[in-house]
Amino acid sequence: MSITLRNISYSYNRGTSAQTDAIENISFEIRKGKFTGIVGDSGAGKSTLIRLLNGLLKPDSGTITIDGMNAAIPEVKKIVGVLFQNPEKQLFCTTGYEDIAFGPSNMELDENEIHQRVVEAGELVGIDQNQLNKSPFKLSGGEQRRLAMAGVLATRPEYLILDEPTSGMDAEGRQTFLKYLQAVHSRGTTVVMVSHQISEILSVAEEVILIRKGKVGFTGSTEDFITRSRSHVPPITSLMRNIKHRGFDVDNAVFTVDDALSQILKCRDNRKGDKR
Amino acid sequence: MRSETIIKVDNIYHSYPDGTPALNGISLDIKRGEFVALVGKNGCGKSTLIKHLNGLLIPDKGVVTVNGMDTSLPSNLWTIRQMVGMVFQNPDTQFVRTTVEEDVAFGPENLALSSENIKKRTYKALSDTSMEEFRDREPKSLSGGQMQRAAIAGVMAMDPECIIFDEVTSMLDQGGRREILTYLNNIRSSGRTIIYVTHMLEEVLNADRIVLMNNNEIRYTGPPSEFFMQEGLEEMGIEVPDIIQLIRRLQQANIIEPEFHFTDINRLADRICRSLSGI
Ligand SMILES: Nc1ncnc2c1ncn2[C@@H]1O[C@H](COP(=O)(O)OP(=O)(O)O)[C@@H](O)[C@H]1O
Ligand SMILES: Nc1ncnc2c1ncn2[C@@H]1O[C@H](COP(=O)(O)OP(=O)(O)O)[C@@H](O)[C@H]1O
Ligand SMILES: [Mg+2]
Ligand SMILES: [Mg+2]
Repeated sequence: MSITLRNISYSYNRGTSAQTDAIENISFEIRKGKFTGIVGDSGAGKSTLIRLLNGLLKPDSGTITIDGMNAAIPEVKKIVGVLFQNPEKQLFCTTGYEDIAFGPSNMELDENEIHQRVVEAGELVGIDQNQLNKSPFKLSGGEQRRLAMAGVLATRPEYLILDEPTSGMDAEGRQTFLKYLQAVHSRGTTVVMVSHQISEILSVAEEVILIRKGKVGFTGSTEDFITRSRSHVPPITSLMRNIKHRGFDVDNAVFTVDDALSQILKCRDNRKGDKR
Repeated sequence: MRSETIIKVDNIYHSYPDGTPALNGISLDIKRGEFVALVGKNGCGKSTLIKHLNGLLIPDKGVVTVNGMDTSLPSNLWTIRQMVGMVFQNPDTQFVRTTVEEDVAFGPENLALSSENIKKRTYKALSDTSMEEFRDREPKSLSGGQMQRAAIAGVMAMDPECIIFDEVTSMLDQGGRREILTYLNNIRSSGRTIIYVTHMLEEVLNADRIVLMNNNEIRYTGPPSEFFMQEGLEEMGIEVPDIIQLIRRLQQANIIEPEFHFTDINRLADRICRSLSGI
């Protein structure tokens, strides 16, 4: 089970002088159950990919299948939930509750079921009853974004796709958001997250897809990415590679402060040991 | 000779009409050509402060002058707004025309310049931000980074002495941020004064000065090298970059000396390796 893209191409304004080839012959697979991170420069085509994944855009060529079905058919849309960039702009109801209920109430569910889903989705993202009854516009930016995520979760998607969900958040808001997102993943939802911070992706994702100018620059496990990718590595990883390159015995496949420090200390202790 | 100070903020206070206090006795001098980073938690008053620097807001108490001109005098505003340009967080709300080129030309057109001069300025601004190839595009069709570059081009076309950036990268991904930071350095080398609001400290490690706000007040102003030595930064919403955290820890472990200041990865690696070799 997976989302599979085969030879997908997409251009905006095709056949006009303003044609932009956003996606060029891309193939990759997003495995069900995984937490996949999508990274790449601005304009690389990440948001376009997401619009293709949920059928908002139709590929010029190639096929996208989701669990074996064509991505464009309505049944598939039910199992894919997308949180677009700056989703708080799309909140419009008078209470958070109604905003979350909007998705499920279009799904022919009974009142009870809808209520249950709203409360559960709220809980999943740390929005309590009191906050559900407030106007969404009285919530902080981070809470608004989690509320928007709850709206998507309430439709119970099997695949949750998020486009830069933490952009504009401060460190605290980001940590909180990621914590809830990981909880969603650990309950069995497949998560695909586009992020503007590579270290953030590396801290949560199991697989990484790097998009470079409309093409795939890398796909593989997070560990592989840290060891092998030639671009987009976090500063700590660059530092450790640099140290290793100078002939010191450190593991350069690290990106956190703690891991880097312990590698450097271990190297120092080994060297001291050798001298004695 | 012109004075060294371009913007002078003298003990200003500001509350919003609904009573929310936003600035509580702020004083700050910005020097000509200086690159000042303004940082602090969401809601601490950064946007309110910078809106005072070109007269978008007027202090309830205290005075702001730009090149000696008081922002509270309406007759000064036109000149002040030309001297101090501003780029905001949300790129897609800053455009007024249907193509990038028309939009960039909008400012100069209002300056009563010759049409040749308007063209010249527009082209220069587009080329300074590498936006020439997008000049016929609708601003809304651009990626976030491209949109912000177009917004910057629009401000550059006014040829302001000072440009203020309010969290312009916060909606962008890493690549978009890198793009903007590159152009920021170009603008800096043109001698313009830059005030750069951000909550991402790694963007401003090379600023001339960091100004930290907390709770509507200024808590620190000084060089980046000393900034991170303060206590309680995390509580004030400052995300200390990983590389700086690592340096702190290496300093505690006596691997590098307490005076070491970060400039670049290569130099840091060099310092660590010398220490590992016992030098
Ligand atoms: N609606 C659109 N019309 C025309 N071109 C677009 C549109 N949206 C995106 N593009 C172009 O497609 C390319 C990929 O953009 P996008 O998918 O938004 O990249 P990313 O999300 O990685 O920043 C860019 O060159 C961008 O300018
Ligand atoms: N238009 C407004 N009306 C009422 N309060 C406002 C308005 N704009 C900002 N505030 C409040 O003023 C304080 C400072 O906000 P702001 O200057 O936007 O902070 P920052 O840019 O540092 O996030 C905050 O408490 C904020 O909620
Ligand atoms: Mg995007
Ligand atoms: Mg602000």
